[in-house]
Amino acid sequence: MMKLQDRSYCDQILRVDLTSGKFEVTPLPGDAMPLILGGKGLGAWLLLNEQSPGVEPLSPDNRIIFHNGPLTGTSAPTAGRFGCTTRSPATGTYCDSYCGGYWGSTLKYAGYDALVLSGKANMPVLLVIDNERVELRDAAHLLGLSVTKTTETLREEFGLDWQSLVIGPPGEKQRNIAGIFNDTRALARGGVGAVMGSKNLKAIVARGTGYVRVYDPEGYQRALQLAFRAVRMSSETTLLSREGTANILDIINVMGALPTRNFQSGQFEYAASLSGSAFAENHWVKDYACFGCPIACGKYTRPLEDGKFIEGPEYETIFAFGPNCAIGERQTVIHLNWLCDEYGLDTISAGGVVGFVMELFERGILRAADLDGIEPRFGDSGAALALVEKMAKVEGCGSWLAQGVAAIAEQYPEAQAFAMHVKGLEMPAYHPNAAKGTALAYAVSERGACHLRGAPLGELFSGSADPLSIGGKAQLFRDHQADKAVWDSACLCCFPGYGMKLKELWQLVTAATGFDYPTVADLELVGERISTLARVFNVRAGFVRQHDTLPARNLEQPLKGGPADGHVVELTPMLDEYYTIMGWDDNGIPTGGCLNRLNLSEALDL
Amino acid sequence: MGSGLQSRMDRLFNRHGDGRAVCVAADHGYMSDVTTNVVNLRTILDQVIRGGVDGVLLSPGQAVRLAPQFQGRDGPAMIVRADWMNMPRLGTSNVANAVPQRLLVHQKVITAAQALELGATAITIYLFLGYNDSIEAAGIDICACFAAECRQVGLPCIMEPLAYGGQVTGANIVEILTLGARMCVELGADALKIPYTGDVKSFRRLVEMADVPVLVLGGARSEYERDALELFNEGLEAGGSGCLMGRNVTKSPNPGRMIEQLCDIAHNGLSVDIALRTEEWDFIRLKAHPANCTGCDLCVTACVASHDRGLYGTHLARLSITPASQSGIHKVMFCTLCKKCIDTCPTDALRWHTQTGAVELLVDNCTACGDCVDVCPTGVIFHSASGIHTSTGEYLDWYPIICDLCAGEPECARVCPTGAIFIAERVELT
Repeated sequence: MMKLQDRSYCDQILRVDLTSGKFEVTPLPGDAMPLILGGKGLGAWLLLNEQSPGVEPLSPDNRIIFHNGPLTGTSAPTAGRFGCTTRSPATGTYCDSYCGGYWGSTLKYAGYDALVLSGKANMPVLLVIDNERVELRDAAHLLGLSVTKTTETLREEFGLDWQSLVIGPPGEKQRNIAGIFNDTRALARGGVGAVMGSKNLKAIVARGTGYVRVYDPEGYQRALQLAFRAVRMSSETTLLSREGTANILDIINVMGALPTRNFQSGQFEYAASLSGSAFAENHWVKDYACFGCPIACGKYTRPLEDGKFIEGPEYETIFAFGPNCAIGERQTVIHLNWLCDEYGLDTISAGGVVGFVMELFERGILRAADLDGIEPRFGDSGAALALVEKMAKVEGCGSWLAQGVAAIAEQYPEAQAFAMHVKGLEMPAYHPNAAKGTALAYAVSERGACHLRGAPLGELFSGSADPLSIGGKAQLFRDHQADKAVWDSACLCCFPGYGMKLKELWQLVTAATGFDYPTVADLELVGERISTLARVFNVRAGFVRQHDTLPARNLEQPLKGGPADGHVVELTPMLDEYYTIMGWDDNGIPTGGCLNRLNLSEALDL
Repeated sequence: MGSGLQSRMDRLFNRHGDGRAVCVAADHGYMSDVTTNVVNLRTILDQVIRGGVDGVLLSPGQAVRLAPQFQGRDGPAMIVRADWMNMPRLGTSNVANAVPQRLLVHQKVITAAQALELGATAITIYLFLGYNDSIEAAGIDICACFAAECRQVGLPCIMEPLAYGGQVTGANIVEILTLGARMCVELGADALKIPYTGDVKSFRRLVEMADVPVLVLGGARSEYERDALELFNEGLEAGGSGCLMGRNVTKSPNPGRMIEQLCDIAHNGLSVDIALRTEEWDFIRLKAHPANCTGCDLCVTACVASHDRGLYGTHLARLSITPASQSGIHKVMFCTLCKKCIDTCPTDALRWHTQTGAVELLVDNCTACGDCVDVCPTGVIFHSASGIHTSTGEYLDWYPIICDLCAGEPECARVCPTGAIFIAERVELT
């Protein structure tokens, strides 16, 4: 086979053992690459093959694998995308998290398709990757610094051509809702920041001056032209450029799927003041694009009176701190977002915790004495700010609150019914009762409640299917899940996907790699294989059908008000249908036939 | 074929004797937002008619109101939309008009005979595929009914298959559209209006399967007018018969000019490049609006890729985007043609390129002294990574890499999504 370096890969995995401080460079699993493509596929492959499923998430043996894809660093739309794969401390499952920004392309230009970290340093360290030169340095001077202070310090020390990945205090203290940050962009979900913290690794800086060489230059240029045209000729991406991800808040509210007051309802009375157009009119001053992105959904806000500004807020963040906490003031949402970005928290999970705690307090399950004197009620901006600040700085009650909704609910069994998480990951911004296909995705997704692993969100905002019906949703989710796994492996952001479809991605991937995927469906099958790899890891770690579930609030309590009034999630029939389509048994375990069909039997040594 | 069907087909497809038609779709007014192009349709219609449009698709009500504009022997063909659906109101593409409708609704609004009375040369109707079985069955019923009505009165029936809904995936959409095209023909379509499949090869197969004239639709408007022209041109290349394009024309700042360009491509055989060119030039200058720059670096990777075939990266690009810390403005650094390098060069190795107006390196005169690299005020002259042999047999360890304006079509300006770097001047070099 032709060299992988001529197929858009670097063919180098950088492995750093933080315990010994040694590093080595190994080639990619060459024969497997057409099966797994890269990105998510590579992460799942390495985790599954190199790590025993019993390894505790915060133990030195848990690997955290940063990976980019074959398209990373090329001119493809959003080609700066990268991700990380690890076993999550929040869920105990396989967990992959993705991020835009500029670090992914930098790692590729430095010459690596993946960075595998294992072990634990005996003091806080900084990993420096300067093309082929790799070293660990003392990071004592960075310890305890916020995300932006760390980033600024590193930028001053290293210069503008370096990119950094850093954690803040919640990551250092191994909290379940800590993220990893490249400037304002984050690998946010699943507590990946805690895994980095558990390795005593405060930051990774990288610089790269290399190139990516595609397999078929003319074919690739042509595929680029088609992909960019498809992105430009889409009203959805135009709207994303104009109003950011928040553009969908209106329609989600209209559809009764905007989770409000910890998912007690699906419509928020002050939704209009939190819409994308409201933020655009009153706060946003400048567009921000990640590497290679023609859309620029990122928005900088005008500084508030205290000088604080953010890049955001995203739709998910607005949901988490707005409707979910019954807060309708944009400035509060911006402040809460600022705290998360400054110190390094996942906004979805942080907002999920605040909404949950507000409900616990209103129901008398939590008291002010438990919360350092804070009395959080729905709509109380001051209390929300106080709680998030404590989580961000990991102080007082913030220390255990930052362990996430599931951990809190462990202590208060009477709260289980409305602890809005799946497998330990806080629920994102689409109410399952009002979007049945999305509900199935939350229940099944490999890293817990997730809207980015194939949730068919089109049922809500493009009218592609009836959101309240369960008919056909298992197939719909299967198709989206396979599709999304290809994007995450290629590895591009999901937003160009509002314009370009899997076909355009297939044209890019085949021209870049020269791999033999005769039809688009062949590439889709790669996605299904990769999702299945993640499932196999989870099964080995003990996750089966009983874990593919939703809180009682979704399964038993009918939603009140809005178009989805009276609806619960009829999960069992969807789950049965989905397992059958996937070729998994009744317990949710992929059968031998399924693994054979996906050419995985041999690879997994079964 | 009787009762005028052929003459009406000719009116639409043979105004230029080439079997091709450049048509504008302006029937959105009762299905989606009342945008400015809908409100100002009378003015836009004037402009596209002057541009030489072959046909215009209208809703039945607009067909009545605007009928006078279609009069005259050389007037364009009027096409009437005979059905209605709520698809645009289901989604975010028209948030302002979105209502909590969960299901697709599709129904007839006019008969073929009524359309004929309005002066229609043809009608269009949708056929939805991939939503659910009942919608698909209802759509087939509507299409079959229109096909029969149209045959009776001799009116061409243009069907518009759309693959839309939960059963449509990235892996099957082209297949569904191709199948839909054939289904329409089997149901009695005289011509098709259909989305472009994204590439010539698969669209050619669709056109062959259809075996009736195929008009490509445009979809949402691209800010780059070139996109619509390229898409249109590819449709023709694949054997299509033209376009029925809506927003890309009606939302254009100059709809008449857009139609002229489409007609130049369809009827006069011009290439997209030639059709787009408004003036002859041989000297250009790049300029920047740093405030528009989002920092995406697409210009930088495009620069590398255009000079080093098949390579993508940012190192040694001929321009650079200085990262803005936090919300600051990015600095867009590029060759401003200040000529300081030319003036500085001690050996006359740099000169003004007579055709492109870019700075040109004469390797034989170069001594790799580095003066040009040092003097460049924007810092965009670099040491090359490898050396070079001069024609006199000498070997230079490195040579300066300088912006060549891509011989008149700078890639950076072409790919910039926000117009942060753009071609400011196209004037003749005197």
